[in-house]
Amino acid sequence: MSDTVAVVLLLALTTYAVFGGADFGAGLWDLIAGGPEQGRRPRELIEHSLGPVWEANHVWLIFVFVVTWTAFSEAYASIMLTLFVPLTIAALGIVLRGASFAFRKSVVSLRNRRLFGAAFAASSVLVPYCMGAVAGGIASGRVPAGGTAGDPVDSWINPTSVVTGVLAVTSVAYLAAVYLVWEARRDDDAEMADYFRRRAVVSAVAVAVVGAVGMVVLHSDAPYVFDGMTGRALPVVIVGVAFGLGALVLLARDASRAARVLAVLAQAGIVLAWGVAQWPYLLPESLSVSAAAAPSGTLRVLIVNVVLAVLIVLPAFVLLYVLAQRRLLPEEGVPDAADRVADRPAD
Amino acid sequence: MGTFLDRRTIVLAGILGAVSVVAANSWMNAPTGFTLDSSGRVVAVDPVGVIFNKAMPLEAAHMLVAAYLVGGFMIASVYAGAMLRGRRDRYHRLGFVIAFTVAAVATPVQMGVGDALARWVYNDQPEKFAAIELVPQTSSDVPETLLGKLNSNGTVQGGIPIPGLASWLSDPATGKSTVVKGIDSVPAGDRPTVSEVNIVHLSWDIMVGLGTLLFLLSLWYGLTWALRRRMPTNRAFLTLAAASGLLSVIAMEAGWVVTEVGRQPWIVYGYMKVEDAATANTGVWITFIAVTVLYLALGVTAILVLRGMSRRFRRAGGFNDVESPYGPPASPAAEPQVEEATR
Repeated sequence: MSDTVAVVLLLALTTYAVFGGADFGAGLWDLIAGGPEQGRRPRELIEHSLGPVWEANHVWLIFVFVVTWTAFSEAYASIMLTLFVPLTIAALGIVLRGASFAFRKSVVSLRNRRLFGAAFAASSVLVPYCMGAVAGGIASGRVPAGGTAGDPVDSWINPTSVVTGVLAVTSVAYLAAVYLVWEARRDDDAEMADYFRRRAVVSAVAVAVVGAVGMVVLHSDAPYVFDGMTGRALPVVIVGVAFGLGALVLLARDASRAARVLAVLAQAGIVLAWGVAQWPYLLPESLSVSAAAAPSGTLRVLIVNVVLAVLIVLPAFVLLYVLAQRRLLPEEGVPDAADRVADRPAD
Repeated sequence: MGTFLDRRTIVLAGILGAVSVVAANSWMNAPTGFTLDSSGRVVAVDPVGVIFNKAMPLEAAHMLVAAYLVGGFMIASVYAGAMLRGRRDRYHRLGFVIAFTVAAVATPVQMGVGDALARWVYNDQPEKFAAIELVPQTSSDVPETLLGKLNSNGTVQGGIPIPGLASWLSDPATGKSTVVKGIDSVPAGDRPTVSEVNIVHLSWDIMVGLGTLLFLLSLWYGLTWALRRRMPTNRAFLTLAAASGLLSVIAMEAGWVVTEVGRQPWIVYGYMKVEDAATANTGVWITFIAVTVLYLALGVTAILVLRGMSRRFRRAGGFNDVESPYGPPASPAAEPQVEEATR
């Protein structure tokens, strides 16, 4: 039963990496889009593509936390006590990001828009880095079992964490760029499609380089996960890489819709490969899934809840995504009201 | 059907969500549904026993009614504030009446639920009850002390004692002879500190005091409806109604202080103390300061942004031609407001 919950946990984490990841990546492209005039069009595209769904994606993160502390409390306690610094930065970053994004839509002056835009974009980079660093700390066995604290510094400032942090940032950038190509295509905006296509290629190369460096680092710093990646998880890795390359080929051929699907699968591959590689451990080589599991009564109710959530919440989520994809959701913010103010002659 | 699903499920999900959250807290007050091994690890869990712990029904009911009460007074207070500034059109009256009626009905219900909950605390968490009623030593004929404080030597100082009332309220059947357990009824190591007792007692007084004030305000409203078939519109009533939102929030928070501080030193009553549950990380202060600073900054920014939006909204013609979120529709219905505002 604990295996089932662990698989659910991994799938939820993957979903967050895919949907939340695209949001964060869009923030990164916002950050490096250049000055107000130069970056205006990419930023507009980013803003209206993120619009209505951006808040909903954190549901997956909350789900991951709830499942972890309910089903694997010992692992949760260890992770929280050890990695509280990057986790706190990530939490504050998520709050700042969401608030800034909302505020930016509600202010008119350029100075304020830039201020909130910068806060939004900077936290969009900081959060995935911290999340990646947390994953690296866990993967490299720096989180001790027993619900005890490990080294609060070395656990997230170490070779594996740096690589996984950078990998998280580059991979969400890649994913977002592919998404944005598709968004631009639907607007018949060839210039923006081209803009993000170039960025998708560059970030794909970056992901490949970081991934390769990552394997070298894992070899010496996280041998258990390295062995897993080159053994049990190798098929996942290969399929993931193939999807990532395939997405680029499709982008080059201007099949942006299919490219998006492959990019999502490639991103999912990274997280799934990590999970498969460190199986059966939650905390490699010190705490296994079954050893960390809560009493069966708790797990049973948790699984029932997951099934209910799938039946009740998932259709709503799918509807939300579909409506967002078809652009049937109302735009947020006040640009219209602001425009009216601007259009109105001074009284 | 779509609308049905939308609205009813939001209500249902809200209620179930609130009850679940409170169930977790009430479990801390009355932990049941689990088995510990000899080393204190949880080895078996009965989720039904956990959720439906003995404190849950009344605590959940108390919070649920509080939510309607606070929500009602909060919304009504916005409209009351607008009415004080002269916007007494149908839109504002309706906004006030719908919200305030919900709150006014919830208030007496809340007093009943609260009374039942206090009796549960009297029976099941005697030291919390002792802190609430400021009872250092177990005795009968215990007075209900309004305000006042406990001294470190165990005597009660100041306050207005109402003779025998605490005993009588605890069990009307036995009246003044009802014995109320004092703080001395639990071992020294398991007692709340003197300052914790004083916080609990003061918070209790604030909650009951504000609750009573809001009840009187509801009564005023109800009587006016009964006698004159309209809501009271004089300045005194509207001023109090405009404050009712804030007052109800303070009352609710004071109630949470009573239940949380009143459980000290336990985090899980009878099983785990707060000091044993707390993290050993010494960096907690940094996190706490960071969170506080961030939320303060966001709170201030939110107010500034909202003020900016409101300024633009007015400049753009107010209710005349701009739709605002949750606001009145832009066209015909908005006309009365404009008349009123320009009068």
